[in-house]
Amino acid sequence: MLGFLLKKDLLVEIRSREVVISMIAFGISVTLLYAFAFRPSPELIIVFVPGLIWTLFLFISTLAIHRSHSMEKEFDAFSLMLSAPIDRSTLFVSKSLSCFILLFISQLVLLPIFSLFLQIPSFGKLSQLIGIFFLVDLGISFSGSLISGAVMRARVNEFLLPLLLFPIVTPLMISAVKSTTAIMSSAQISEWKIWFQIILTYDIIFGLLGFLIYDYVTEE
Amino acid sequence: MLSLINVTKRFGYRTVLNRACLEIKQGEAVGLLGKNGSGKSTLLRIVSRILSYDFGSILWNGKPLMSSKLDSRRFLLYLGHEPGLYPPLSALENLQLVANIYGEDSSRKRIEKHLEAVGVDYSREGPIREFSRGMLQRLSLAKASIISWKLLLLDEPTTGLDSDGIELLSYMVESWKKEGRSLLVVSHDKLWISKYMDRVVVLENGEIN
Repeated sequence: MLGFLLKKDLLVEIRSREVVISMIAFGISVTLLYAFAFRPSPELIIVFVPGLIWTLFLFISTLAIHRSHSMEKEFDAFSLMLSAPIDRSTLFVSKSLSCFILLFISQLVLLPIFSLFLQIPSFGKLSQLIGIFFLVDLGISFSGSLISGAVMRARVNEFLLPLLLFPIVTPLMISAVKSTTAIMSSAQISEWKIWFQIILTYDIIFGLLGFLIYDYVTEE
Repeated sequence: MLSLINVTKRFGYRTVLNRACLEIKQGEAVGLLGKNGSGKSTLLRIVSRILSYDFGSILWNGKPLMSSKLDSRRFLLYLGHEPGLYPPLSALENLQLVANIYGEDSSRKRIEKHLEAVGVDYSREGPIREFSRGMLQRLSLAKASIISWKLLLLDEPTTGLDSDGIELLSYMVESWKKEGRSLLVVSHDKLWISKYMDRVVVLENGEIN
């Protein structure tokens, strides 16, 4: 069932091409803005680039999160999902995974552009960086899908989503920035292990929470 | 058999359903009439478990409808006022998705046969976003024909259909009744309802009479 739902979410995006293109277009615009606004030295850039990167990815992730549920409102497609013999926890997993995939694809496109325009000397160990991106994206997708599912029927859901999401993802974002800074400065894992643990804990909490309560938050 | 016992639903201070009771036997087609805003669609959405209710119980063959969630939804199909499908996908892709989530055969040949039967041009690969209201209603009928439901909840099925479409709908309703399937239909079309339904009930002030 998860396969069918995930295929549907991705097929809808492939057909409409609404989310990834907006995410990349917004990402490039902000990257250019950053590039022309700052000209720091290579030593200094490592200090504040992680903050810029994660601010950018947090904003673009809201596009994917919002769209993943708002597309269900057109033609009342979500009524099919809610009344069909589908475990709603599976719906949550498919929504989170599709959001994660879209976010990861846009990061794959944007990160080299970001690196080129801001002349980033090194990202440190690439495997560690990818690992952190993977876990943080998962955390954003889990918490975002849960909140988006809860507010999707509200009249001002476009306003409510960032209002609720941003405070909730703040610990995740702080940990993401701290971990990325440490990786870019080639610090030992023992120095930033705590931030990695916070990210992992956040993923587990919101993954489980969404899996357990998505049924209740989506019912009108 | 479906039984609604004292089902109550409130939206804030407004009571939409007030201890509503209804029974639908196997193979029975029941029409539900009522004024705008009387709660007809709310009732259908409650039975299909899209909406929660505050009080009462809903039974299917004497067992609570909501107890075994997945099994209770497998035999039930809700066709709302909107088509309940994905606008960027084609008619074929949408019906294949529906067949897959209901565990039915989703082969292209089978879906095309059903699309042809309701008069939807399956050779059109374009998104259903471009379909007219009538074509979307026909697509909803195709959705009903590919699933082995036992209880169909229909909300305003005649809206947007031309005379041929209404004839097709009437024919399908008759054949479903012959197969022993149950229907609960909400409509403003009193003539059509009284002609094709076995029984007509009215929802008034939150109560079913």
